[in-house]
Amino acid sequence: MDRFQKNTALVLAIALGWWTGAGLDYVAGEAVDLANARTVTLEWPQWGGSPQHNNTPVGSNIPTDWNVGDFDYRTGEWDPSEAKNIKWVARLGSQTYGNAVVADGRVHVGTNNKGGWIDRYSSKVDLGCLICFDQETGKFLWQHSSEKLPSGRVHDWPLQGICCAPLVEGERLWFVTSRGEVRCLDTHGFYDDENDGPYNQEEELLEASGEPYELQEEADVIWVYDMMKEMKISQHNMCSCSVTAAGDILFVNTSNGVDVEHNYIPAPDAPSFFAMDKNTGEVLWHDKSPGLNILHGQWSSPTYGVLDSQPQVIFAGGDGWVYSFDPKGTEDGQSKLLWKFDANPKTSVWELGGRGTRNNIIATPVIYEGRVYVAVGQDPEHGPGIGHLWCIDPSKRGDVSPEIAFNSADPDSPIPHKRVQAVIPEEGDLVRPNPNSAVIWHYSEHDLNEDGEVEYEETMHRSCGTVAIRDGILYISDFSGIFHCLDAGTGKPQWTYDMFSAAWGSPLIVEDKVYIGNEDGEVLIFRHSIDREEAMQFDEESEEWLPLYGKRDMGSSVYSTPIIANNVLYITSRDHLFAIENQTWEQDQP
Amino acid sequence: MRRSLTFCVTTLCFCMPWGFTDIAKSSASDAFDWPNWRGPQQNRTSTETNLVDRWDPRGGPGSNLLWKNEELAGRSTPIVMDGRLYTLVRELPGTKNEGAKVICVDAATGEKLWQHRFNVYLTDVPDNRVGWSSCVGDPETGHVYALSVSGYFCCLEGATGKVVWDRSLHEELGLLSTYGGRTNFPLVFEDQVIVSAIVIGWGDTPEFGFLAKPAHRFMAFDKDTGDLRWLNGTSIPPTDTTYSTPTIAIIRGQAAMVFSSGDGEVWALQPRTGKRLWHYPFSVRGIDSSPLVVGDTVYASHSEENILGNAMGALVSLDATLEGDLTDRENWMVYQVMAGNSSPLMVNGKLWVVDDRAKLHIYEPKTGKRIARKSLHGIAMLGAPLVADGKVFLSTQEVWYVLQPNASGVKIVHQLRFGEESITASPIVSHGRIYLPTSKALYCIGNQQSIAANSRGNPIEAMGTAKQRLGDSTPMQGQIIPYDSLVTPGEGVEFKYRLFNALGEHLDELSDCKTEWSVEGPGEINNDGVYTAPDHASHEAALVRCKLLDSVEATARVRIVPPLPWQFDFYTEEKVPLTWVGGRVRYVIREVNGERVAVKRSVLPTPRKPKNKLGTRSRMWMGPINMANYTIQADFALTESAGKMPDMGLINSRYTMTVRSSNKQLRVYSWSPSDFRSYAVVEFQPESGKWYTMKLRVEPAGDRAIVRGKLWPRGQAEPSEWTVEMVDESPNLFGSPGLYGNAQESEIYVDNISVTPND
Repeated sequence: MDRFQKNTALVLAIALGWWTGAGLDYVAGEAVDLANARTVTLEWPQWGGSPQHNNTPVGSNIPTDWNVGDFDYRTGEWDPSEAKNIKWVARLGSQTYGNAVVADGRVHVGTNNKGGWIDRYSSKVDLGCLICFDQETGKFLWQHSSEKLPSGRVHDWPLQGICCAPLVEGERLWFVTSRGEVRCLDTHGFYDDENDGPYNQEEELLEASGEPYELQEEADVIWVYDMMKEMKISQHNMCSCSVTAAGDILFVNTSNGVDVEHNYIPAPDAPSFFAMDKNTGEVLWHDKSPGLNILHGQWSSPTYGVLDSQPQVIFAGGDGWVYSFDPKGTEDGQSKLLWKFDANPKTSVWELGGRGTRNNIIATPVIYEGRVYVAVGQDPEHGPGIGHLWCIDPSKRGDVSPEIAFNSADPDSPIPHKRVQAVIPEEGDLVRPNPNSAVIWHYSEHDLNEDGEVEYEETMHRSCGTVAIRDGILYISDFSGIFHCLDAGTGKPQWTYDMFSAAWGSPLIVEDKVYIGNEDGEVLIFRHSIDREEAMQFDEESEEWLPLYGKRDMGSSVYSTPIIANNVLYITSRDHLFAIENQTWEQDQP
Repeated sequence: MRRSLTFCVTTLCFCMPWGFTDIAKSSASDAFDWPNWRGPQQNRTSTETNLVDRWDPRGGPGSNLLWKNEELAGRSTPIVMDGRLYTLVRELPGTKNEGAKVICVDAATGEKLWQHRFNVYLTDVPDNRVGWSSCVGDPETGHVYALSVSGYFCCLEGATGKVVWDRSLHEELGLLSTYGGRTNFPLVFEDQVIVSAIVIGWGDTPEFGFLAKPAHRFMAFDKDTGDLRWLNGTSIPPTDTTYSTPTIAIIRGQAAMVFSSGDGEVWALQPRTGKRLWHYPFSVRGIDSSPLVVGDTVYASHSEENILGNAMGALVSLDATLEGDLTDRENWMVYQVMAGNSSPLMVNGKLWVVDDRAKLHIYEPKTGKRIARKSLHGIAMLGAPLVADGKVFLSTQEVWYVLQPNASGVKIVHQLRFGEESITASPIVSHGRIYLPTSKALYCIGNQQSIAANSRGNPIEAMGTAKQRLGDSTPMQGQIIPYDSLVTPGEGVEFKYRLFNALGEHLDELSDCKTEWSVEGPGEINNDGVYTAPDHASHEAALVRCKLLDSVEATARVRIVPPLPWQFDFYTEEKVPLTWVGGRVRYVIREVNGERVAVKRSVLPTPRKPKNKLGTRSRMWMGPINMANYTIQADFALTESAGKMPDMGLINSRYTMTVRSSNKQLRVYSWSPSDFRSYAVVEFQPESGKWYTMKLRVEPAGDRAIVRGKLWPRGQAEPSEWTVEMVDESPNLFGSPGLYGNAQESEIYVDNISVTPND
C-alpha cells in the first residue's frame, strides 16, 4: 500500500468510525502489542508517571473525541449540555501549571485560589493551593493552602499557585510549596479522623486564624521542611519542583535563583539539589554546584534510575548543566557527583529576557533504555529562542560535556565555568571537543526536507517540555510551538508540526495516540508513528496536514501534560480539571 | 518559511532620487505624519493609500525595501514628524559604556541626523528592555519628548536634538523603575506633555496627597518649560507597573484621557486638571494594553485575572459618557480574550483584537459577538497592528503579515517569517513608507508609487481638541503651577494659577482674578503668588494654597533643601525629613540600643496586607538633581533574620555603593543589572548588628567620573585607602544624594548621614 492509499484508507476508516485497531500494520505495531500485553496503568502517582518521567502509560479505549461543554465565566457554572465524554469536571484556580497526579483513589492538583474551594479564604485571597478531588466523582475533598510570601514576586509571584506535581505513595504525598517548603501530607486528610504527625499544629493554626473552617476541607500535614529557613535558599519568582523518590530517599531541586537585579545570586551557598528521608524530612545530603553560575531560576525536577547497575539521581541545574549523583551520597553526608554535562555550547551567551543563546533547563530529564534525554529552555516569559535536545550516555563519569573551555594563557588547563559566556574568544578563551563527551546525539536543527535551508519548523527551539519515548520514537514540544518527532536511537528528526501556539507541557503516548496540549487551549492528538503521513492526515479543506485524531478545545490554555490512570484521561486547563472517559464504548469499537 | 537575514548592509542605497535629497518640511499638522506611536488619530489607523503590501527584507530590485538601519533596532516603535524619524534605542549595547539614546534619522533615507545619548541609572531594568517606550512629537513646536526606562525625561528640539529641558523623574518625583522595564508613553495634549508611572514620592499625609504611598499617577508638564502642572492618579496601592497609552477623546464636549492602569482599572481623567471622571474595575492585576475610543464607546482588553471568577482575560465595551464607578455597567464583556499586549482596533466597522498568543479575533462592536478567528504564525503578539490602505499590517513576535479584511474574516496578502529576529514594536506608516523595527534593524518599506501617493496629508486637528468651548465660564477647578518645587533657603518661587470650568476647560479670560494666597509650613507668599522660603529652613516642606474668586482652592507643594553640608543625626526628630523622596513610610526613626537611628523597615503593613514587604527594597533621594562633586557618608548596621541580612547602599550622583550581604560584596555601579556597564567590586563580609561607616565620593573629571568608596568599622580610624573605586567613561556628573536599601529580610539601621562638598 503506498502512502496515498494509506491516507485514503485512514480517512475512510475514520469517517466510518471503525478506525480503532485498524491499520496497525503500519503504525508502531510492536508498541501496540506491548501495550496490550501490559497491565493497564491504574495510577499516575508522580510527574512523568514514574521516577524516569517517561509519560507512556498503558490504557485502552482512551478517548480522542470529547467536548468540555461551556462555562459561565462570571459565575463559574458549567453547562454540560454540549459536553461529550466528560466523566467529571472540577473547578480550579485561574492559573494551573502543575500536573494532576492520580493515586489511591484521589486526584491531586496544584493551582491558585481563584476557584475558592474553602470558606476560610475568599477567592480574592491569593494562595498556593494543592487540591484533592475524589478520583471517581471529582468531588472536592481537601485543600492545602499556602499563603503568599510577604516578600512578593521575587520569591512568590502573584497568582501562580502551586506549580509542581506532587508525589504520592500509598497514604503519603510530598510536594514543594510556593513558600519554599517541602511538605509531606496524609492523602486521606482528616477523613480518617486522625491528625497524623509529627506535625500536628493544624487545628491550632486554624483556630488562631479566627475564620470559620471545616477540618475535613483542610490538609493533614505530616511534616514540613522549610528550605528558605533551613537552607537559606532564595527561590526566584516561584519555588517549584516535582519531587521523586527512590526507596526512602526523596529528591528535591530547591529552585534557588537570582534576586530582583537578576545578576545577583543572593544565596550562592544554598543548596540547589538535595536528598532527604521521605519519612522524617531529614536532609541526607545536598549540593550547591550551580552556585554563582545560576542564570535565573531552577525549576527542573529530579529523575531517578538505575543505569548500568549504578543508581543515579539526575538534576538539571539553573546554570544549564545536568548533574548526576549517587543517591546515597557519601558516608559523611556529602553529595557524590557521578557526572556533569554542560547542555549549552561554550560560546553561547546568556542574555536576560532576550534572544540569548545560552539557556537554563526547565524540562525534566527522562531516562529511556539506559539513556538520558533533556532539552534546554528558559522561563516562558523570555520568549522563544535557540534550543538544544540532548541524548546523554550516563555511563561516563566526571565532566562529560561535549566541549571543554580553555584559555590561551594556559591552553592545557580547563578554565572555570563562566556564567554569562563560558568561552569568550576575545579574551583568549578557546574551546575543544571533550574526549570524555557523553553525547550520543544532539538535535538543534535539521534540514528535514533537504531543500538546503533550515526552516523554522526544522529547528529545535527553547523548550520547557520533557520528552516522551516509546518504541524508539521520541516526541517533544518546544516553546515556539513546534512538535518534534525523532528517532530516539539516532536523534534523526522524522517530522515536525507547527501548532501555532506555545507549548509548556509534554506529550503523552498511550495506545497508538500521542497527546500534546498548548497555550491556545488545544489538545492535539497524533497517531503514534515515525511516519508523518501516518501520524497526520491531509485536510483537503485547509490544505494542511493535521493531527490524525484531530484537535480538541479545552476552553483555556493547557500548560500541563495529559495523563492516564485506569483508562481515564486527565487534562488540566488553566482553570479546570477534566476527567475524560470514553462513554461511547460500543460505538467506537471496530 | 524562515528567511535568514544575514546581510550586513546598514543602509541600502538604491537609486531612488525621490527620497534622498532633502527632508521636506511638512505641515505641522500633516495627517501623514505619525507623531506618536498610536498615530495621528490615536487608533493605529492611517488614511494613506497605495501602500506596498509585499516586501523582501533581503533588499534588492523589486524588494520594496527602501532602507534598513541596524542602529535603529530595538523594541521601541518609531515616530515620524517633519520628514524625520525618531526612536529610542540602546547605545553601545553590551559594553561598559552602554546607555540609551534618542536617535533621529532622515525618514526618507535612514541617514542619521543626530542622537541624544543619556545614561541608564538607578534602575533594576535589564539592558534588553531599554527603549520600552516611544518618542512622541509635538507638531506645533517640533519638539520631541522621550521617557527612558530609568525615569530620565527629556524635551528635545526635533531639528537638532538640542535639549530644551530635561528632568529625572525618579530622583525628583519618585517614579518607580523596575526590572519589568514597563515604561509609559508620553502624550502631548495642547500645551502639556503628560507621562505616568508608579510614583512613590514625598508627603505621607492627605494635604500632600499621600504621594509617599505608591499609586499609578500621571504627571502633566508644561510642554515648553517642564514645569509640573498637576500630579494625580489612580488608587493606592497599584498591583503592577504598566504601560497603557492614554487616548484623549472628546466625550460629549468634555476632554477625557482614557487609559488602563496599574491598579487594574480603566480610567478616564480630565487631561487638563487630572480630575477623575469614571473608572471601571477590570482586572485584579495591572493592565498594559491601550483602550480604543470610538465615538462615546471605549473598548479595552487584558490578559490577567478578572474581578470575578477564575477566568483570565477579557474584552469589554464601556459607555464613556457615564460617570463614577462603572462596575456592572458594561455595554458587553467577553471573557477569556487574552489580549494584554496588543490593543483593540477598528477595521471596516469590525472590532479586531490580536491576543497575546497571536490569535486574531474579530467581533461585532455593538454586541461583542465573535465573527471570525484566525491563528497567526508566531506564538506571541507584543506590538499593535496598523490599519491603512484597506489592509492591516502587523507583526507577531516572529512573522510579518499583511491582511485583507473580507466578508468571512480575513485573507493573508503577505506573510514573512523573521527567524531569530524578533519583533516587539509596532509598524507605522508615514508618507508612503512603512517602518518596522525588529531586534536587528529598522526596515523602511515602500516604493516610488507609495511615496508619490502620500506626499502630503490633509491638515488635521490637534489631538482631542474641541473646536470651541462647550462648558460655561463658571470656575470650578484651580491649579497652581508649579505643583511641586524644590528651593534653597531664601529662594523664591513665582506661582501662577489657572482656572477651569467643570468640564476641565481652561478659562483663560480669568487669568487676572481675585486671589488669596497662603502658606502652611515655612515660608511666606505675597499677593502676587511669589513664595519665599525662610533663610534658615532645613529639609522642610510647605503647602501653598490659593483661593481663587473666593470659590475655588488649589494647592502646590514646596520642598526647601539647604546647600551642603548636610548632617542627619536623628537626635530629636520624630520622623525622617518630609522632603526625602521615598523616605517617609519606608524609613522611621527609632531608638536602638540607646541611639536614635533611621530604620529601613522590613515590613510595610497595608490594610489588606499586614505583612507586606513590597517597598522594603527601594531607593530614596534627599535633594536636587543638580548636586555634584560631593561625598555622602553614613553609619549603618544590618540586622539578621533567619540567617539572612539586608543590603545597604549610598547613592551619590547616580552611582550606588552597596553592601551585598549575601554575596559578601561591596559594589559600586550606576546600572546594577547590566553585566557589562562599568562597576567595581571587592569582597566584604558584614557582621550582623555591627556598626560600620560607609563613604561614597564622586568626582566629576571632565568626560569621566571618579567613583570611590570606603567602608570601615564605626569608631575606628578612617582608612587612608579607598576600599573600592572605579573610573566611569560614560559619567554621571551630578545627581541627588540618597540611600538604597533592601530590607526585605530584616531591618537596616542608618545614622549620622552626612553630605559634604568634596575637598
